[in-house]
Amino acid sequence: MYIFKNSLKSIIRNKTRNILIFVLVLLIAISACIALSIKNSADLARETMSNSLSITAQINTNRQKIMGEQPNLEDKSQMKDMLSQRLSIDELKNYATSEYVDNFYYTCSVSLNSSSDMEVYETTNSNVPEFGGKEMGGPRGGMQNQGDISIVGYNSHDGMTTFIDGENVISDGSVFDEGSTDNSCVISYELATLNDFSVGDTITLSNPNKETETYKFIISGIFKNETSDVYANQIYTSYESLKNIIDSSSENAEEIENDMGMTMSTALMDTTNGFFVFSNIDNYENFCKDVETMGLDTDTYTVSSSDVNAFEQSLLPLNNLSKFTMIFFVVILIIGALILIVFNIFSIREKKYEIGVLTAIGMKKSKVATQFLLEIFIVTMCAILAGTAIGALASKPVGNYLLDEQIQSIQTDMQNQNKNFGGNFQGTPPSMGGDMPDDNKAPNSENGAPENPGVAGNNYITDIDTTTDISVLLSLMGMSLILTLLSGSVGIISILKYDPLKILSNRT
Amino acid sequence: MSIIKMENISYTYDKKKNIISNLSYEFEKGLVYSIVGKSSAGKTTLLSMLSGLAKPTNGEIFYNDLSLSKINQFDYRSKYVGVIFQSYNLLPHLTAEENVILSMDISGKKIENKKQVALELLKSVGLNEDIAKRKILKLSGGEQQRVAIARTLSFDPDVILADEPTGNLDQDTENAIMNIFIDLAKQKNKCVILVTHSPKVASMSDVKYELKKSDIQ
Repeated sequence: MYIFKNSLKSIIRNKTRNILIFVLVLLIAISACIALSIKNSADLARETMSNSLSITAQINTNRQKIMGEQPNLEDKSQMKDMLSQRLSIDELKNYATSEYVDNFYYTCSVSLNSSSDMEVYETTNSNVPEFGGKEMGGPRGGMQNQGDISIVGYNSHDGMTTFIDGENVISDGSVFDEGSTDNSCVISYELATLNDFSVGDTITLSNPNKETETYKFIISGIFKNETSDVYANQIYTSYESLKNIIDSSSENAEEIENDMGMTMSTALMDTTNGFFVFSNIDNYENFCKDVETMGLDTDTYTVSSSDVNAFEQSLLPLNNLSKFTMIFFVVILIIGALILIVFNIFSIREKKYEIGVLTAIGMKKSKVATQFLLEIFIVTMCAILAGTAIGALASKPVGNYLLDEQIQSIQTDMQNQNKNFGGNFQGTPPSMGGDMPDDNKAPNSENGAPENPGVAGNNYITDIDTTTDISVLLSLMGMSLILTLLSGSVGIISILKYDPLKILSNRT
Repeated sequence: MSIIKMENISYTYDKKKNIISNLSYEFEKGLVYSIVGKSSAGKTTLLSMLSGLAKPTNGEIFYNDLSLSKINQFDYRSKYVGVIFQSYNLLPHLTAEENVILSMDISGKKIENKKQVALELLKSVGLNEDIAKRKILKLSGGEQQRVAIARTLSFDPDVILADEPTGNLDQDTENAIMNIFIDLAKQKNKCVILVTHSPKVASMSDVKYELKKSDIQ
């Protein structure tokens, strides 16, 4: 107890030195508190979002790996074949049995031609979802003729994410039944208006490779999209209806010559995709490992999710900020510790006489060292507490200001990059590193991915609710202890080495 | 029975200069000893060895028949032996009273109402309450000397070692302080060992021990 009282007396009676130490540690504490609070917020935001985020993923060809391993031109056709490989629905269904999968649905899509008495809507938006594009698999072979209408078949309404999200809304009639084989379908309001179609009407579409091969669809509903006309030339039906059409086309297929003089089949080429739904990121990550144990050839296929990329991207500025503040925190801590060590070297020289007297009258060196450490600890702790209070108040405005700066910096980089690409940059956004999966470069709004992740940046977390909680406080307390021990260690070594008789003789 | 015994002790400074050589002596309780001798005779060195602050190069010192090398030197100085330094060695950032209380704290002895005890001790060496509340730097040399004496008496040690304890005191106070030492020896059965140049102090002691040439090489 008397050691504590002595420490207090010594602090009060050596005001100048202790005020200097207090101010120094206060500045360190404020910086540390802000840095830790921002890191805490980033972790919390990540956790909250990852827990509430529903993730959709696909198993696609591992383009990066295939293309990386086949750089020679002679292998181009082999590479093309490898890239066009697809897992069958049965294989996908097998992977969907993984315990981590919350839901699984699949689609197939083909392109058909409109009949001569039907007009196709000319979309104003250039970013039309391509169901034959990278994301959805792409046409195999690339020799076939493309139709002007896309037909997408869903095995489940769960897969109709644009309707679930409210982007598309049935304005007349209703959606087709799951599993129906009656070719009932929903068409866009634009297509319906242009051709004066209404619910119950029948539309006829033909195979673009064989005009005589026609298929009839019954309109069960008309959907509207208030914001975009990108879905105007798309028709949605059940997977089973479309599958029957594809099978029928395959049965009646003929061999013909295309414009380039190459032989090709008239059978409709479909693109099939399976979508795995996960309730959180952990399940997604576990699924990625699980499919390997279930036998997925990871040299050819990979699990990817644009939702995860979008999630990572939304946290990008906050993570960057968190990273920078933590680096700043470590630098401040090191510099602060060094300054404190120097302070304490001088301090121990000043206290040399006191140490000599105390040990000469019988105070154990360990107790003298404890008193010395206690002095530093009390000053440091008071400064840490004051710094935490100030830091807690300042962390939100400072954090949001820094986050805003970070977002602006990223957006400026993106805009510059986008400008360099004539406004159509679809590559990796700045600061994302080079590890973004390939599919993020060709976003598809049907899959719930951001419209244009390379440019927009509208999905970023722009406001943080920084939390200076007990974990931050404990971290700062720990920091205070480390600073005390680090800076006091030099003093302790000196105390242990001092010989009281020598100190007092020199003074005399 | 001796409380402190020196057996053939020598002290060599810088491995060359012999300060003390083969000195043997026994100190008993209830007596006041004066160690006298010329300057640089090794009086203060002898006191440092008796207090455990310095170790003899050869020979051994015993406290109650226990070698000092086997006693924790900090416990020895805080509980059994009180040292009054020539330059007082008080803590300047503390008051006279606080210096005395600190010594009681360090000893670890159970002392009731330490503040009151400190004030009484200071009063016994001629320092009133007003002086007791002053910081050391605001006291004269003589007052500081008395605080140092009060500090040593505070934890009631068996042996009191004092290096020129009356060096800065006037005649009256010198008498008063010597009376305190004599009382401690006679009434409280303490062993008081003084290093002094003062013939008066030496004459008031029970035993006068002179460090002679024969002790010094």
